[in-house]
Amino acid sequence: MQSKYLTLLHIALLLVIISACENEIVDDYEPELNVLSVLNDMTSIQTVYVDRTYSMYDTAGGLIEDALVIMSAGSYVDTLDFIHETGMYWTDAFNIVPLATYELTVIKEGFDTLTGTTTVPASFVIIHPAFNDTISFQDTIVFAKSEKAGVYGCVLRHEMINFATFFYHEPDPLDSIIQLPIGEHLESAPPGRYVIYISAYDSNFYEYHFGLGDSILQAGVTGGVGCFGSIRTEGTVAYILAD
Amino acid sequence: MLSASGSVSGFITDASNGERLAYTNIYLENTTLGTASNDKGYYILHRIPSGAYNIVFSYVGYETNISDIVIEENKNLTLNVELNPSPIEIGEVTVSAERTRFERTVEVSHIIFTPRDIKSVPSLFEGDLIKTLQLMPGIVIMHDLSNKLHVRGGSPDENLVLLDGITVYNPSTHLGGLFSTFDPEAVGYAELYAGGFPANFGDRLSAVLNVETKEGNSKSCTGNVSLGLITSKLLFEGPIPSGSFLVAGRRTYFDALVWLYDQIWNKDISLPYYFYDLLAKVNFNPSSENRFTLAGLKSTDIVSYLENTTGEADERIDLEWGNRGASLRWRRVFSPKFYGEVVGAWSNFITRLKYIDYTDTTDNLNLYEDILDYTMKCDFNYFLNENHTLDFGIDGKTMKVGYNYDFTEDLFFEQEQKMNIISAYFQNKSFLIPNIISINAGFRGMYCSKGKRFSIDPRLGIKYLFKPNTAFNFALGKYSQFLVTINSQESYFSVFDFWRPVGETQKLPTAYHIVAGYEQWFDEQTKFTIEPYYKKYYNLLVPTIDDLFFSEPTDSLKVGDGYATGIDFFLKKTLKDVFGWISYSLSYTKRRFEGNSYSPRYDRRHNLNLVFGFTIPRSVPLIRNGTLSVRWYFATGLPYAKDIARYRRLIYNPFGLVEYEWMTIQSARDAFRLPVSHRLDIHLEKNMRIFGLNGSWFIDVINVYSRKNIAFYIVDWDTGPYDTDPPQIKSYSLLPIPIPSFGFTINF
Repeated sequence: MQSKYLTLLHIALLLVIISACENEIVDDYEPELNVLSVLNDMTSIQTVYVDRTYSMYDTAGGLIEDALVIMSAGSYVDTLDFIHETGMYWTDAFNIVPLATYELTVIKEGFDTLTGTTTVPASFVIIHPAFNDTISFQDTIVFAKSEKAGVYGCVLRHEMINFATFFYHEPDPLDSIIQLPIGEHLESAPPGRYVIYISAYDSNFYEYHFGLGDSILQAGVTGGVGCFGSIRTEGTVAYILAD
Repeated sequence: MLSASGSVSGFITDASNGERLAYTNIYLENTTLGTASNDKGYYILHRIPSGAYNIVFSYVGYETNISDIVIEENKNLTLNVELNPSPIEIGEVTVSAERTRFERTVEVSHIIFTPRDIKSVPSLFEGDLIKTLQLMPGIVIMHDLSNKLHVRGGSPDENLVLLDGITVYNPSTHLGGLFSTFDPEAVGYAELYAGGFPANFGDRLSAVLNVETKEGNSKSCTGNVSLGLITSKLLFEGPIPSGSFLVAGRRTYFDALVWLYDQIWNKDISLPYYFYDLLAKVNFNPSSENRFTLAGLKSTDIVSYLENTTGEADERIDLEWGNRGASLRWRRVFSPKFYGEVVGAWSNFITRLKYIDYTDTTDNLNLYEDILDYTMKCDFNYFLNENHTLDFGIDGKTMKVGYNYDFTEDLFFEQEQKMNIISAYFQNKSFLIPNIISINAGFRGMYCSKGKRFSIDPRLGIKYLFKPNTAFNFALGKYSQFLVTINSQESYFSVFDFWRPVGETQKLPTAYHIVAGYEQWFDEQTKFTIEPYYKKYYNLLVPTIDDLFFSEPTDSLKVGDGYATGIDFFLKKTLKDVFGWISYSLSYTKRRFEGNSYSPRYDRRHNLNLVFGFTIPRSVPLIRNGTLSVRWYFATGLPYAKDIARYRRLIYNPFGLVEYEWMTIQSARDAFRLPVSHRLDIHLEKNMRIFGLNGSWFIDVINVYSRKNIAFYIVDWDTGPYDTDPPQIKSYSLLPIPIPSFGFTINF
């Protein structure tokens, strides 16, 4: 009897161990569409780059030229044209309006259809410097927070000479007023009259470009990878004097 | 009957050095009366009818001691016994401590290690306690060089690690985590509870590793000097009036050799790293009832680098980390039936980084991270009778976790968190049916000042001695943890952990263990166990950024739950000339955070370890009477996220030109598994005499057949002239070739 029980025990244990054996997972990857489009209220032309993903073992090709790229806002729909010189799709049919929502659809045979949505950040006010103010490099740019914005970008462009600088600023979520010390970003800049652009980038743009670990594959898009974002820009002009 | 009986009690020690002998078998000849010494070597035999007896003390590896005693009515006879070491012959029937524990105690998932176990297992460069523990069932390693303990689906920060009563927060910090803090020469005894641990341990979710260093030789001054490939060691022990002392030290010496080479050949090279351990212990026994033990530990890794390119110092980096601790213990036999121990302990783990840029002081950096722990602990055992013992105790712990990140004069972070924990436990160890069913029921109550939280953790263990050589065990319990780590426990190469108290708003991480065991002894030296287990986790806290370093503050940790289940098999045989074991574990581990369920990186499905050693016969020249041991392991692969695709990550540029970089797309974090791993290691050790002194030498070869166990993959993008060319996925092994090491020890 004892040996019978022992045999049964061995069989049961063997079954447990065999049942734990795992199948080899097949590495079967289906490529997806990959886009980048950031709608900009400062330009009349909006662009879309269309690319695809590749398996780790395939040689990559260039950007995709024969996709059907459709952009819409409310009931207005436009199909974008491809420009070979720049490698992107474009349209001039849209005015980018604060807090408006835009949709993107990219269709290409052999791929899942990619769709995207972005809401343009709200208008905001540059509090300081006011237009044509005179300030120093020790001064601070002050502006109110924009609704729907995830990150801000600041362009300082000298009007007389070929000099410009750009930097991003990640706001503290608790701040309603944002302050940017000029001197931190213009250490050896020439004094003069500057055009100051403050751009509010939407949360899709922020997640894609500033997401943790560069691991954000989808920002405002589904059915593929990439980013569909938008920008609202405000500007002013100021004389920046040497200290 | 009771009024006509007496008792005998005392301590049992090794006659050669005064070390205590735990779990010695004790019985009265020609009677059914018997008992065993506890883990401190103390014993008491109750309810002996008045009269004359022969009392027998038997312990494997020692000569059996038979003493004549006379028991008087209502009196206790104090009998302290010293056993003389005596090599046993193969086949000799001597009761081992393990066998005695099997008969006398309710213990599941409990393994005891001796220095012999540690030193006789093949090991990279030198024997290491943690590396030996990794060969036990239920324990998983993440790669060939790992010195972490993932016990039954738990992460390393769920293990309580104690050294002479000192809590060790980071036990494996040497050489990038390759070696543990425990100097194997100084370890006297180590026990591991892989699950279902009793109420006298707490504040951890998974396991307990309790390490006791040697007591120190109370008979004569002895010691040894060891020289290995990486470290040199010194141990010195001896008697003091009414006591003993022990001093042990270990240090790497590669930096000194490189320095010497540089001085002689002027090659302008240096090795800016070394580590050392210092351990000291003093025992003082003013009377047979009282013993005071003072122990101290300092274990430090140091990186000190001076950049000197222009003839003057340009920059300097000083990095130091390590464990420090001290404990004072008072053990007292208040009465033959009442035994107690009071411990005061201090534990401190430090991390210091200082960077000085002599050319630009604004770049200077000064960081430190500290964990400070003061513990006062009282444990008492009341031996009601031979079938019934009450254990109870209380401990208070005050902790301070602080860090100070001083980047520049303007950028300065400092934080200090304090926490007090008060715990009390009670457990009732009794035979419900003498020598058949025993039970260990208890609970542990804990209060934490952080969040003003209470936790009552019940524990239960039952043993059913079905036959003289067969037992069924069962244990269940609730386990809570007040401290968590904020660095990922799934990292391949973390050297030390950053500990934080559980936040006031967070729920307490909790685990429930259920363990069922079957234990079979085939003879006095061969045991076989099967232990299925299930462990359920609640309120686990892990870093938000799992693969990177750490999240801060504690409130940003993710909250989740999970489970671990499996079955462990263990077959062990120990004789003087032959020893070995086979351990096999089948395990499943899942964690669920933010709705996603996954297998953590240490979820290894199958894990097999074979260890076999024997004394080389006299007929073999040169190495006759040496010991040869081999270790082979086989393990299925760990889960990992595979790079399955790539894409151009297009990056917006406000000035108009879009740039891109190639990025990979990874599969789900546990979608793939690494290939199986296996490896053969051998260890040869031979005693020798040199300059009239006894000694020994050893040779280890790790990865004898050059198995390339894949630890991870890395994508190599530079594979062709065009960036559109597919990248190569390269596999990396941490021990790709056989690694020999050797060393010798001289005893004096």
